[in-house]
Amino acid sequence: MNAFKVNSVIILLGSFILWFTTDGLQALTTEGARRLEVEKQKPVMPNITLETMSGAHTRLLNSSGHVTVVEFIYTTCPFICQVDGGYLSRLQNEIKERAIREKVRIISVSFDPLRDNLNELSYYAKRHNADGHIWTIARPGVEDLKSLLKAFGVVVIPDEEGGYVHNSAMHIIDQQGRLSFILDSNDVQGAVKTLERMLP
Amino acid sequence: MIDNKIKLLLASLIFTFCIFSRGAFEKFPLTHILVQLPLLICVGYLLVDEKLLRLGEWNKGGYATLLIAIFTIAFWMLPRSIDAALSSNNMEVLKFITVPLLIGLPLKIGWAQAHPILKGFLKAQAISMLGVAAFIYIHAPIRICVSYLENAQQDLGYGFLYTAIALAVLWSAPLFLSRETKNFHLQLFFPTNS
Amino acid sequence: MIKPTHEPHSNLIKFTMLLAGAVLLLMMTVGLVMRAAQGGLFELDAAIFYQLMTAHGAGMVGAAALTGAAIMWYFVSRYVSLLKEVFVVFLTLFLFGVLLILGSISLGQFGAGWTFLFPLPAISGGAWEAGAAAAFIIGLILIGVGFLLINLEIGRKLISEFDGIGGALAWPVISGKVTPDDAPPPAIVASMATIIFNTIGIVVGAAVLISSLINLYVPTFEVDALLAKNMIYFFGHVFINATIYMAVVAVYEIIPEYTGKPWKTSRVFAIAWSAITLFVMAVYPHHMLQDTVMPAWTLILGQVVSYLSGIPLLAVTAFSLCLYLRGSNIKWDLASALLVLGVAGWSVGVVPAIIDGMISVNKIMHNTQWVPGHFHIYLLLGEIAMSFGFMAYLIKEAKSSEFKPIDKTAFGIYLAGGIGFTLMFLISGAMSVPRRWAVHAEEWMLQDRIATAFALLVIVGTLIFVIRYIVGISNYRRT
Repeated sequence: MNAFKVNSVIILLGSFILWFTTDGLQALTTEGARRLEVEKQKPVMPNITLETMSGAHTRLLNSSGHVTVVEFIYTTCPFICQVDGGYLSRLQNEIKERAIREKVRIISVSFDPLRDNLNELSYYAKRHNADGHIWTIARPGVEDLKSLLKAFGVVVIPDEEGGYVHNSAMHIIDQQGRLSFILDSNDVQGAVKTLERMLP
Repeated sequence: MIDNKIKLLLASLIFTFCIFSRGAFEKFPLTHILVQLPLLICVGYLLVDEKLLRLGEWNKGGYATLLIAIFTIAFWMLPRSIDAALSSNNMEVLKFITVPLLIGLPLKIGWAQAHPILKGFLKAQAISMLGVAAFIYIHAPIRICVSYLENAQQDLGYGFLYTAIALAVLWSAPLFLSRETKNFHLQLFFPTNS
Repeated sequence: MIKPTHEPHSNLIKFTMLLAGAVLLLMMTVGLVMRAAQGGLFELDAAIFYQLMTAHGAGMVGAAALTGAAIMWYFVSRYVSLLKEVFVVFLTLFLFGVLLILGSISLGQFGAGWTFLFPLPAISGGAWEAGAAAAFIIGLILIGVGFLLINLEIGRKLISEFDGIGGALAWPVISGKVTPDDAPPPAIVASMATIIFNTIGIVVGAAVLISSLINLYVPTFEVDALLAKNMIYFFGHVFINATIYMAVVAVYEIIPEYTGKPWKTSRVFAIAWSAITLFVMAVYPHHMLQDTVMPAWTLILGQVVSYLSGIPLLAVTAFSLCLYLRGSNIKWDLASALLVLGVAGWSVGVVPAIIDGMISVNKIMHNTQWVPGHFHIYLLLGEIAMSFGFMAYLIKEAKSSEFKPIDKTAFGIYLAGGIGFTLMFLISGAMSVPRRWAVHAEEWMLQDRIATAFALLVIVGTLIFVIRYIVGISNYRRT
């Protein structure tokens, strides 16, 4: 075998492996891979019960044909979750002005249900003007937390200051209860477009 | 020259050390990427003996072996791969096999045969890519590896930057030496009677 | 004095200069169209204006770099044996890069300027797709790789032949160990210095280019805009200055053939080039004097080094050129006249740069046409003049080294056109006419129109140079 052939084979093989492991150069990170996989697979989410800030109970999957936007937070978060709250507030305002307002729910789900009691949830809602109608803040039961995070593919690591680090993103669940899209938290325009596409 | 047996012993020592220090090194991205991986590369480096250096026609100019090393480096530069090594045992085993055998070993073999211009190009490329990695890891507003904290990610970014600077100095400093000073240093460390 | 020992790669370099001549003519025409459009002589869509501006910038920087590299390669290959293949690979990469850049502009409508300053390439507001920006960036990377390769080849040969970087920079002359008679010739010192800072510049440039490329496709990997700007201007400043430092090698090598006096590496000469090597890298913050978020010391450094940079250059090259010319019976012809013009243009072009390098002036002047005024003197009357001088030298035959009337006319037209054209930029700049504006106000159009006429003169002069060159190399082949 001459060098040229060997080198060509190595280049082809190497490119193939890199192409394969990055889903065709589309996902270089685990987060990118998660989003890509969700869009392809559209996995059905567990229909767990959530307790909202008003003390009412709601199901994660809603049978009345709503599209649900889910964001994971913990209310004592000093930075990212507060910024994300601002983005969701903008999303809520955008939705209010459009025809899709009757068909969209936004839920900020706390992954720290022990510390985040109803008071904390309401306080977070007040700070970011969550109206409780389109957008509510809720917490799962402690027993459901692990399976919930796993289903969404959200990784939560405790940080050094007693808080958490977690992937922050908008998770969009379609009318059939399937997780269909994951968008950057700040991509409000993208979310509006996606929602309008899903709700013709 | 170090004897082959000593090199082999050293390689197995470092390899064993890497296995037992896994937890400590993999706790932070900085030590994971810039200590553990280079140590594993060293293991492969030490496995090369005189015979392996003459691989024959198919590795002319060292291109074949260098390409193997470059593609493997590219694979392990993906944040996804590093995350996977932390979350899946199979990937962790794959890392411990491929980094020595598909990076360190072929790099050493290929380097010995590479044309000086190719070496220079690869050095410039390495410094540049470390700069890119530093750029992204220091500034990225997101976590690139989901397994690590953001400030640990920044530490890694600075690690890349300092490595780039260190390599630039290490590689360019000898170019300033004149023959006279080189001989002087040689005499200092390896005195001959002539 | 170390004498040339090798045959230079004449045919390869002649072909390269032909290519560069064609690119220069084309890009000058693009410049003419832009000035005419600013002068309101015809309607030009603003989007197209910016595409032309991008093409003109990238094309001219590329052409200047190509001619500089060819000059350096030609003369260095007289002292050490260089691998011809490396230059062929360089030329191939360069052409592929040019194709990608032209494609990104003409097919992809890319118009973010040759400096690809973040975030413009990534956030075009729909004017072009990410693919067009990527093609432009990859084109620049290919060209950069080409330059890296020739730098590596020349660098390693100089380092081994002249005993380390210090030897090639003539440090033993500075320390007094070696007399100028035994020193490496000025061409070697200048080439070594250029290779050092150009290689560093390319490594930094590659890093910011690849980061920008990644950012195009993975927008969440954000680029720190200020750091990116620093890196881009470091690379850009070093790269464009390297072109003139490479081209001046032609002056060091050719002028002594006319005067009969060898140009030796004196102690002052050696010190100046070592100083330039540092200054050219330290001075780049003078491009960022308007970035108020920059640390103050960097801006002060930029201003101070701006002053200092002028000194070694003016003192050493221009001053010693005057000394060489005085009292020598130099025979004037197109080559020698253009080379001397090149040094003059280079020196004069520094003056507006030093003025703009003052923080207080820069705040008012930097975004006016004063700055294009500076770099057009620097390039049109400096680097490009040297390159045309080199081209004239390449086709010169020993028996007929006279200043023919046609050459005299062409030189006169080029000089008059060049002075008038650049003066209009400076006057407009002094009147606060902004730069990089597609559409000009009525009050600015007079200078634009005058500049258009002068640009036409420059093109006529250039056309004669290039035609003479083509005739010259085809005659050369036959004899």
